[in-house]
Amino acid sequence: MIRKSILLATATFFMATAGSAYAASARDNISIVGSSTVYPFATVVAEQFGKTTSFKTPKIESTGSGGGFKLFCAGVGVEHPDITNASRAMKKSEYDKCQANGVKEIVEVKIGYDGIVVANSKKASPLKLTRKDIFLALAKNVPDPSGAEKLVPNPYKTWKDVNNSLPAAKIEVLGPPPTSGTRDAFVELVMEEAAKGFPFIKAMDKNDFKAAAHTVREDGPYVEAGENDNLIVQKLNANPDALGIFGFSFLDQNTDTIQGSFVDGVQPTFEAIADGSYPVSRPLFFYVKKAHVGVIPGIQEYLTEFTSEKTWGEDGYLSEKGLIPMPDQERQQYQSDVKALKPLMMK
Amino acid sequence: MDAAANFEELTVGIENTQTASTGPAKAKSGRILFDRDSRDTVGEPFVEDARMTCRDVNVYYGDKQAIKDVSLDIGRNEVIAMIGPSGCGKSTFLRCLNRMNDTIDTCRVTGQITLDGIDVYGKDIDVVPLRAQVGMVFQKPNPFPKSIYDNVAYGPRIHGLAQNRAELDDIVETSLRKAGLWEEVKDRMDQPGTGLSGGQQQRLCIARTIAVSPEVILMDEPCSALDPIATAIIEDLIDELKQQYSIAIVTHSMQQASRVSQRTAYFHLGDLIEVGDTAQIFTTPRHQLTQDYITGRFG
Amino acid sequence: MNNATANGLPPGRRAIDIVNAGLSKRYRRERRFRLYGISAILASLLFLSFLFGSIISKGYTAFQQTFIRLDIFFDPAILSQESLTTANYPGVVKQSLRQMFPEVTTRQDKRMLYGMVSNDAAFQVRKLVLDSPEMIGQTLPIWVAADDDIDMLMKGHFDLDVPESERRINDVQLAWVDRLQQENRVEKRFNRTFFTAGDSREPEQAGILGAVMGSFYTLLVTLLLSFPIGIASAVYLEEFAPKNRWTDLIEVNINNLAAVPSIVFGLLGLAVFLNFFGLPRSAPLVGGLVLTLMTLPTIIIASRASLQSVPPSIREAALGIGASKMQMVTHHVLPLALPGILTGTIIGMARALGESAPLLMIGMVAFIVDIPGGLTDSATVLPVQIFLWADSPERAFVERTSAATIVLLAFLIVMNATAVILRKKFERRW
Ligand SMILES: Nc1ncnc2c1ncn2[C@@H]1O[C@H](COP(=O)(O)OP(=O)(O)OP(=O)(O)O)[C@@H](O)[C@H]1O
Ligand SMILES: [Mg+2]
Repeated sequence: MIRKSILLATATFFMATAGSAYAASARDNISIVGSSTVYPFATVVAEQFGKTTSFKTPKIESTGSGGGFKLFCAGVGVEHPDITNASRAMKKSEYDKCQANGVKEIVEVKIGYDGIVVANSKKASPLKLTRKDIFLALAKNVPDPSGAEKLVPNPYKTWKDVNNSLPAAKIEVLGPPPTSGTRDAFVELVMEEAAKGFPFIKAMDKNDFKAAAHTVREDGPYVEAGENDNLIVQKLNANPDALGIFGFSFLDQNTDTIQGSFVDGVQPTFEAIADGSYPVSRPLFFYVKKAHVGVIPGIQEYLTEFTSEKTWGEDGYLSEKGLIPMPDQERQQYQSDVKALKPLMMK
Repeated sequence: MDAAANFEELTVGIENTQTASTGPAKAKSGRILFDRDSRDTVGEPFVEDARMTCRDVNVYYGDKQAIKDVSLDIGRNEVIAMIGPSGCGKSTFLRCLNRMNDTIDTCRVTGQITLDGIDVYGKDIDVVPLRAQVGMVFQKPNPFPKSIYDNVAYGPRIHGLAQNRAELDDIVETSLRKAGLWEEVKDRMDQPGTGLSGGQQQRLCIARTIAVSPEVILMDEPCSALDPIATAIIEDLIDELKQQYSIAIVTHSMQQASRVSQRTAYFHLGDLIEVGDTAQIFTTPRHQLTQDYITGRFG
Repeated sequence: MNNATANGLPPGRRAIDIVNAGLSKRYRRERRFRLYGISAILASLLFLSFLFGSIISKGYTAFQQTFIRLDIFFDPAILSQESLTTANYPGVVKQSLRQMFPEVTTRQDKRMLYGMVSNDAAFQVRKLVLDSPEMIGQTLPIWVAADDDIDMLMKGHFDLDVPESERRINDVQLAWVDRLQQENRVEKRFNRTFFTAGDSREPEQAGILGAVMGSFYTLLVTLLLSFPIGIASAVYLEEFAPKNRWTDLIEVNINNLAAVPSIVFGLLGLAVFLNFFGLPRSAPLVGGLVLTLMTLPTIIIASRASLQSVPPSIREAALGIGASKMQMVTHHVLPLALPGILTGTIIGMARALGESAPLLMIGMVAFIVDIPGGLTDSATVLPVQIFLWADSPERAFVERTSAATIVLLAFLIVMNATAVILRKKFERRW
């Protein structure tokens, strides 16, 4: 008797399973994947969109920029996402992958900027760093302190070793792991730029330069703190000597306990990032699969919501969440491109 | 120790009905006894009108042989006792008769065993009806953790012996009466069978076995966990049951064997050494090993 | 009688003397062992109470939410302009706020003022108007949820000693809050939204119902699949399968599966259920299938252990009166093994409830606002919700993260307690 009901339950279940495969063919919510940096902004727009329209609230997965492109470029059809968020522009290789899988027309939407901050606890005084200081403190190999034009394993233990004007505190930086988009941007915007300041590194061939500029030291001072920026903030509160690297929005939400360090003389504020004077900032994007517009309900309307002034404008609700808006003209440009669903071209 | 006392006086010359490899030897007392090393069965293992017959039965547990070439009959309405030192294969032999050994993966049985002329190890023999015909009572009482009623009713239920509840009640009552338990439990039929005393549990197990009206009942040391009073009740019961059933009983108590059985079989290290009328076995054993065992001189 | 030497003891010594001599040592050892046991238990209790203490102390505040009473004027001028479903409800709320604080004039200040209440207020007003349009033209006191920053302020999570420029609440807003408090317009109430809403990026509107329903559907699938399959496999392996090299191999594999990192099941689910069978991403159905793979070994192992522990005498009893093997299993063995099987199942389920890693691969780590209503709707689960909130920048999510953890722990405690109760209730002694 028990056995019979077991069989029955199992059979019903497999039938239900098969049935639902059909149900999947009619997806009625927008599926978005991609960067964890864009996630806090995209989710706000999605929620607003779901509340104010008759469409379902889009589903947003935080997969990282690279993971997002992989899913996005896997093909056209309801089982593939409609939009992917990215904290960097699409690479040529990713574009080619898209093309190869039939994802021909892709609309690129830049949504604004995000600053990457180096911050410490308010219990200590703010640091005045340069990108060169950060590079020397965190790179695995640094130019020989004696002046010789060669790389030596990073000998610096305290900030004072790096730069005499800095305090004699131990170098201890909590930052994102290599899988994170924030880390990519940090390496590119800080380490690489600083490395270029040394003529002999700049003169290296491409691979050597990359190795020199992109490799972060692994002997202790740089601590990979996981993807959770909240955790870094908490750790900074506990350890006033430590610095943390994370997105501007986390600084923005915690200004009462932590402060951004000066980088090349500029403190990370909303205004400084918006006008471009703060050097460590990156553009954020999302990409739309044009073939899905008109098939999955609401994509067009979602784009309209995202690119309206009340959303991404100077006073839009995204700015309250810490997104740094683009200049007026750039916004208008993107707005009209999006309206026309102008596809991205990469040669 | 009656049997042992009589022993000395008896000087019966016994002719060898079986062919033995080693011939009869003359015992100290002057009787002819079969030698210790002789392994052929002494006495008459066969009966006319047998209920069950066993021919050249060998049982192996993996490589180890536990029963060697045993041939024995179980007659109608008789009680046959199986005795022998611990580990000699009594239980093993008993369990062959209703194929309980099938549950042991390593166990292998050869030879022929029949029930009413039908080979129980035959290709298309179903063990379910076989076990309904050849019931078993185990050494340790093992009632189901269910009510007394359900314990007895279980067999009739799964075999569909009762048309309705009244018939089932009837079967349960008769079985419990036969087992001599009815008066003690009739007011608490819905209480768990596991809540009874050891002796009551064993009688419950007997009732459970006879509730399916088997033709043969196998009992493996049914009284080993019981006090003399409970033992006596069960022995009376066995005496009564033999009117209808054939019973094979394994026991370590020679008194019990002599009280309840008509025939006795003595096993030794897997061999059936001697078989014969109970009185004869206990008074004038013909094999040295049997004699050693029943006089307690074994080992 | 010189028994002592016969026993192998040195002459002149009695066994009892030797026993007595060693006795105190034996008892000492026993006492020491008990002490170790008690201290081990104490230590784990300590850690547990520390964990619970820290989570509860951080999270309990989330069960309350600050509300502000606004005198909402259901302005016919705004509400009759368009159809009532799409009217400018935020305008109604803003207008009411302006009327309460007429001195606020600059654009910057107005924005700050509007930011005092949750933007859910407009939806609340909309619902009221749609339910009873006769309200239009009246002014009614309405309690609306405060913005998360105000909520944090009221709960004392902001340090007001730091300079104004570095606070999320500036002095002007503080003054407004003071005024509202004096007018008895601020109140902390039970946070119903937390239990009735789906996820939101606005902490004051975020709730766990979506995740709870997602967990429910996911576990439903897991239970319906893994329980019968687990029992069937265990019964087959334990009672019917021949014991040979193949069954040994299967057994080893099952035991290994139980120790495989759960993310691997997610990868498997991605490859098989999504890519091969084309089942929808983020669906509880797929989550349930993946968690079934993960829980099956646990259930099978527990069930087999439980079947093994049924005494052989019961099996022999059943077989001895002519029950078939199947009858023996279903009538006797399975009922006796059931408490153990249920315990194993519940423990497996509890593990599945707390699992988030394998769901990452199949798209259940996602921002999903709508409360799932079926097996194929996009959904997330409680531990994923906790993970997502823990990663959100808004300060108010910190307490909600802990509160959601409390809810998850409560579920786990209920499940494990059920396991204990079931075991106690059905446990039979032979
Ligand atoms: N399941 C088994 N696997 C392997 N060997 C077994 C098994 N059961 C019994 N044997 C062996 O078979 C021999 C006979 O065992 P059996 O149980 O039949 O003895 P017995 O005569 O009933 O003894 P006792 O009087 O102690 O009950 C013994 O040597 C025993 O070790
Ligand atoms: Mg035995």
